[in-house]
Amino acid sequence: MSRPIVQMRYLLMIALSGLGAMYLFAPWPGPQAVIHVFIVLGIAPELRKPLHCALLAAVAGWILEIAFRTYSGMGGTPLGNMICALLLWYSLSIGPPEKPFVYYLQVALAAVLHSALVYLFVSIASGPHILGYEWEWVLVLFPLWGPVAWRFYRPPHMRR
Amino acid sequence: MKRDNRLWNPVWWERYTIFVLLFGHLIWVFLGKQADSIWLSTSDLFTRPVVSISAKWENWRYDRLNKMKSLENAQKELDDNRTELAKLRLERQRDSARLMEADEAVNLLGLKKLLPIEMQASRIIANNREAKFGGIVIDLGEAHGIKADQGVICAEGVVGRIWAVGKSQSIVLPLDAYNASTSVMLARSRATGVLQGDNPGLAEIRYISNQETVQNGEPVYTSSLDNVFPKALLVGYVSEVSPGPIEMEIVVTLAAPLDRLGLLFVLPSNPQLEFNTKFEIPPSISKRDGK
Repeated sequence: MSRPIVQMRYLLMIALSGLGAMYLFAPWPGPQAVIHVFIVLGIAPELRKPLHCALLAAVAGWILEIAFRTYSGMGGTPLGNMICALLLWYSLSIGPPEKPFVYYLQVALAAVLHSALVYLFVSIASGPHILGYEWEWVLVLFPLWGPVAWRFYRPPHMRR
Repeated sequence: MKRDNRLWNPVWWERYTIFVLLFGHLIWVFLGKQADSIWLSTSDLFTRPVVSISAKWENWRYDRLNKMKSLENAQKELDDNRTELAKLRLERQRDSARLMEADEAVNLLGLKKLLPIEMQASRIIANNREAKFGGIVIDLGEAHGIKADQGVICAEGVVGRIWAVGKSQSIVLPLDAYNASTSVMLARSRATGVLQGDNPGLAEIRYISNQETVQNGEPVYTSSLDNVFPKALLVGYVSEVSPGPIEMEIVVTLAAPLDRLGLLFVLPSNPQLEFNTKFEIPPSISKRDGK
């Protein structure tokens, strides 16, 4: 399950860049949501360690909520992020998919679950709110960010 | 000790940490609403540049959209105005003929008030005056009591006489026809002669002696000697005068615009040849004098 240090640094650098981009993309919620989901479901589970996975997901959630600055109560997004990222990490650990289609299916399902969970927790934390169109951005642009996530995941038979 | 090692190894530490993270967040979500303002105020410091950039970007887009909208509106208004102008021009063209006829009718009405005789108004159907043996076709005929040699006038002056009469239409022989002759009188010299058609819009006065004094621009009136027209209806103005071998050669420009006629008056068969032009003192003045 562990990755070489070089690959880990590479992944961390990408994650940090993504976090910065997510913060700067605050005025454009659609693209920001895509970057956010990519970090949570595409990069966090690839860190291989559940603690790292949960930490990155939580940080991404907090940065998103701080960047938005419209939440009356915060913490819902990081909680949803952590649960989804850990579930996907677990799913990928117990049965690592060998083919891209299976991986894409799992990630897409996780993206849908992520939208629902985040909506639920943000509703609890800050009260009822409108479900935006960010989840549509995420699903529509999945053919774009899904293959990139698959490239980071690399199935077991391709790992050195 | 074995059991303790199993629970306090790095793997379990990691699991504890994840649990603390999740549980902490759960507590935060349910109970930590009060602390959010601190987070938000500190985040203001970092988000301000991005917010200002995005505000400028949005303002620029909004301005551009507004400019485009106002340009589109102006273009639309211009197109509407052009369409309306074209429509108005078309209407004016349509109305111009009616307006001209209305003006003519007003003039004729004035003439009718001035002349104390019964006249029949008629409309010109066709004007083929320029053709050989042509004339002016009007919409009155036998059915309306029209007979040959009735005089025809318009507001500007004498037009001609009825030449041929059909059931519902008649042909008018204009004054400028070669075979038209009308007895006329010069305004100053009171000399009488016969007006014969010459060229379109022109006629000659025959049988006036070289002894007479005739001036250019002198009005020519009907003399009533032909029993067709009453006396003193305007025929035209002298435009050329020259002494001839036997008689004076006088060219008259006809007063009636024979090319632009629309409405005409047909005089009765035997018109009153002279009008009562005796000056009558208005009743108010006579009463005052009586006092």
